[in-house]
Amino acid sequence: VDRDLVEQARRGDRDAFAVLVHQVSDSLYAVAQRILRDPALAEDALQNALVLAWRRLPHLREIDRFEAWIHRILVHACYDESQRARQWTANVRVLPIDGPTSSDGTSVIADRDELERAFGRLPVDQRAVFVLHHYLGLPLVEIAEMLEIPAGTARSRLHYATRGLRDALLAEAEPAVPGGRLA
Amino acid sequence: MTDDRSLERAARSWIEIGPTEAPERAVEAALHLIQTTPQVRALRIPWKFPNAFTPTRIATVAVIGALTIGGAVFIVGGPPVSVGVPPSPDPSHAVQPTPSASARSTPSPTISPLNSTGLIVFEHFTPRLVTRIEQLLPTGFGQELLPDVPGNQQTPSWSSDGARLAFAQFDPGDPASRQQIFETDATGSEPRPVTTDCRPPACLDESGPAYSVDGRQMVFVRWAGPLGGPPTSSVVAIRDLTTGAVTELESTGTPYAEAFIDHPRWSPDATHISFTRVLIDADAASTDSRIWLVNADGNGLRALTEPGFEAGDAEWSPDGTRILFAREIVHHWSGGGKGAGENEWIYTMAPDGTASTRLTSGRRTGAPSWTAGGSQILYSVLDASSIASGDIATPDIYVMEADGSNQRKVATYGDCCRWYPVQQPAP
Repeated sequence: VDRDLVEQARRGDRDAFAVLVHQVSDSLYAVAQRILRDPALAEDALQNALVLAWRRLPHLREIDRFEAWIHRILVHACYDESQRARQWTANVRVLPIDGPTSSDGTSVIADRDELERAFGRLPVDQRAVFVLHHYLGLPLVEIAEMLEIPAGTARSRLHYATRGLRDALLAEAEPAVPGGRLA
Repeated sequence: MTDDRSLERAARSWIEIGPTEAPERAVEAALHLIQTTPQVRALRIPWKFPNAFTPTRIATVAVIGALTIGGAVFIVGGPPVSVGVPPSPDPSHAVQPTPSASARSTPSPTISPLNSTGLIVFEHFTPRLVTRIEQLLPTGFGQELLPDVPGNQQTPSWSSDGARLAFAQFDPGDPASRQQIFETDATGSEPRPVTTDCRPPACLDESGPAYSVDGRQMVFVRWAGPLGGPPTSSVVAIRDLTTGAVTELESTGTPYAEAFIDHPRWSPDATHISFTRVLIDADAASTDSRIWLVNADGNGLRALTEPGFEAGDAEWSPDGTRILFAREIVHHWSGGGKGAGENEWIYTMAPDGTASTRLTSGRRTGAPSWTAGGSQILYSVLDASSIASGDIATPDIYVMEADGSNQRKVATYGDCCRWYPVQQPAP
């Protein structure tokens, strides 16, 4: 990201900010979509983050931290969207996907489905750290700085996210009780 | 796939799947909004959020009508009322994403009576990201007290006789707007400006008003800074409401590069003023806060709480023997702090900072205030799911006895956010 553009945008230059938006919006949207797992929510989070960033840009003191700063705004926008979505979907039960797995590739699809379901059950703050670490490839220290949380908190969120995925997958791997009555 | 290595491999591979380009319509919609959205050049208080559009008067009438009808049905004991959240009735608005599948919430008010009957008002931080002052109706619904006053209406504070209500206002949709203090009454009468002599750079904004018990003085936060720029400092100030003369307590002056002043309050005997000093980082996000005490003449400055405790929102009991306060300031819940999301409880302490007693635990609580007469405490509580996710979520209004017992809900809503409830003292 061009420092001059950030400085111009900080002084109120909308054209400069538009250039910045086009430079960072793909990354922001990709992160939002992976955290929220919903294209519509991700779009809302992206829009809110971009407008909030514009509003608050005059108060960014370290221009070199622009990308980390705007990603933090995005993650908080994802928290808000997740909250709204949770209120909406609180009563929607996730239905398990049944079906055999085999070596012909369907097991890969099943694994993805399992991951999708398990990931969706994680708290959004754990999902955020997981995505920032595994998708953007950021080290935990950098994530902690970006989100303004202690490094230990970032580490524990990643740990719990990974454990949550493993536990959920283990639970799904348990043999299903066949239909009918239990003896 | 459940051993750690294969899990990590699969997860890395899986997380790569998905779109890598932002939809053009979302980017263009944001840029379109930005064309009409001013930047916050003077971040007078960090919980401000942007505004954008002005709603129609018809929408306002429709909203009030819906609330009235819903309330009437509720009163006559009809079936459970389900009223979708209409467009916010406030006359100035903010970020409006393009229509999408994202859900919007539904309020489900309940009401629990208090020992005292004064009108409760609170801040409603609306889904459109502006703060409006609302009154709590007997039905449990909130209704705007000042629907014709544009922009953000913040930090309502009653005079001790209940006849006046002071608040701070500014309109983010108006680049020339600066934060000023007004006063109205329980009926929402035409607000009268209290701020009359505030000119940059010596006075950029005024916020956080509170009356002295005799109603003759008002303590507030005065911000200095150039017009159109961020503030340079803040200070506790006192206005003589008879003459309009303002006295700044220089000992409390704080450069904005490191901190700002928040929530000043008179002791009932008017000899002392408590206030919060909020430390901020380079992005103006709060990192810590302490409650301080100063003599009304500006001498005797001393801290009442320890660094790292993130204490704030102090409120004196009517008899002056206890100070109610919160660990973490609700206005900064969204900004976070060192301990954001943890240990956000309500306490009381003696006016010298000793004998601290915790009144709440477990759930995130904040924004406390004494009810009229001081026998109970109003406050805000975040729902349990919010604690798990770290979201700002949907605080409900609660009440408890002054010793922390009998904690119960006064009103609950399905959407964010109602907080800083304050009850009108007996008129």
